Amino acid sequence: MKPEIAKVFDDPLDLGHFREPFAMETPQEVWRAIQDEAPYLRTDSCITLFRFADCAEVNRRPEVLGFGGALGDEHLLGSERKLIPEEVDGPEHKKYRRLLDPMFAPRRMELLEESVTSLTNELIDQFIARGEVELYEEFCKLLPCIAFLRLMGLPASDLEFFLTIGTGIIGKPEGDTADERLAFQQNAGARLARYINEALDGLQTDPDPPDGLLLSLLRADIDGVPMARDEIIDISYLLVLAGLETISSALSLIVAWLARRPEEQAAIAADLSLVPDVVEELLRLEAPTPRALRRATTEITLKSGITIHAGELIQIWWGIANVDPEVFPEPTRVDFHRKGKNRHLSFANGFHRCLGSHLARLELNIGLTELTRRIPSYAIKPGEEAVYRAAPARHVEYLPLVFPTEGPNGRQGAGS
Amino acid sequence: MQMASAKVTVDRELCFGHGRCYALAPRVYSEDEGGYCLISREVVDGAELVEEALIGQTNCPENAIEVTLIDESTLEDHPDEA
Repeated sequence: MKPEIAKVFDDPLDLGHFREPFAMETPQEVWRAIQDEAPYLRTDSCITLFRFADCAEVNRRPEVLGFGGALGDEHLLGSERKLIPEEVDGPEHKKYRRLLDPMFAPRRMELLEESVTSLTNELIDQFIARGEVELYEEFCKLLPCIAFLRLMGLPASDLEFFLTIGTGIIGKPEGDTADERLAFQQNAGARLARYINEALDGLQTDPDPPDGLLLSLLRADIDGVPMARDEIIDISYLLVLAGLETISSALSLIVAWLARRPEEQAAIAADLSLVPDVVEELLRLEAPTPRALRRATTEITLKSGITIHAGELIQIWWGIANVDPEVFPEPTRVDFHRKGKNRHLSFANGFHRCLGSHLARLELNIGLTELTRRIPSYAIKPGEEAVYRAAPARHVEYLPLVFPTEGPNGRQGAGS
Repeated sequence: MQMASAKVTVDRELCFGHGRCYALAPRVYSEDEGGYCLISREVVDGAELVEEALIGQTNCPENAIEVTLIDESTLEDHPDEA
């Protein structure tokens, strides 16, 4: 294993290491090579799992804790307290998921379809006449944010604040050292917690409060007991983070992949019903959140025979599991007709299956559908390159596209 | 003509609400309030529905669904008068 890649697995808690080795257009071949080299890797600090079956099994074991157990007193993304539900486990985690799952179930998300579709088109309206766009700034970054404000029942005018926070916490924590980046995240995190607190104050004093998730959380109870303000803040905090940058990242990866492949673009444009399969296949391949941390509470022997020590930190690579040839024939090939068997782990699995997976799918499907409908053919701007970043969510931070502008008939002109 | 049938079951302890089954095979699977899998048809008849049931199974990241093909010949009450 190349030293710079081995380092990623050796020091899983320093996101700094994690930033560059996979900031490439096609890390999947590297992921495959790692998997061929060894089924897992054990270092002083942790065990890293690469195979689909091992990764999936670990996440279903009640003796394995999620990020909360993995990180101990540290919390994800600059939070001062445990993020709910990602950093809680066991019965407490179940209690929160019972409350939150219905709020994020597909049938609830479908109610957003119309408004997300019109928001998507409003974004496209802003740049379609220009014939070129830097898609990350003007589309990928904005769509999840606007949709999220709508979902939460927060004013659309707070968009700028959320964009700053999203960038500060997940996107690009500034600083040269891990400590500096952490301090940057913590500052953004504290501002976010304060904002949510004030929004909740506002809802409580408003005689006619706006409908949305925040209000649902305020009015919700668990076994007859209303939630404490801190609990609502911790949940909202995670929702804000999870609802923004991760979906932007996925959207940028999907469009960037297609931007280099006119034939696939044409196939999708000719049949928009392909979109959900395209989204699933590219989620599998690109794995926007390529890894997660877990911790074993007791010694565990997996079905494959791998033994995980009691207390050991476990690093799980969804991105690598997603190219396991045991589960995905010709795993690095993109096949939109993998529908018969695409059980990818890009939304994690087991107890901590991504709560927002159905929201993400809705936004990605609508985003790609509307983009393709309005702009059936597009390409990376000649002389420029898409810029990939690996951490903390894999994304394309610079995605310069050109496309034919609308001709006199209101359709794409020459080149389509 | 051979008529395919299958028995469909879900292990609710293993279902973590990915929602792939009922999204891809809505005639066989449905969802509860939290988005977790429910089986709409415990026995599916006909090649098309069996295929749908299998799509739900093979897209489940948790391997929570079992589809067992029913061998028609053992179920026949009265053999074909061929």
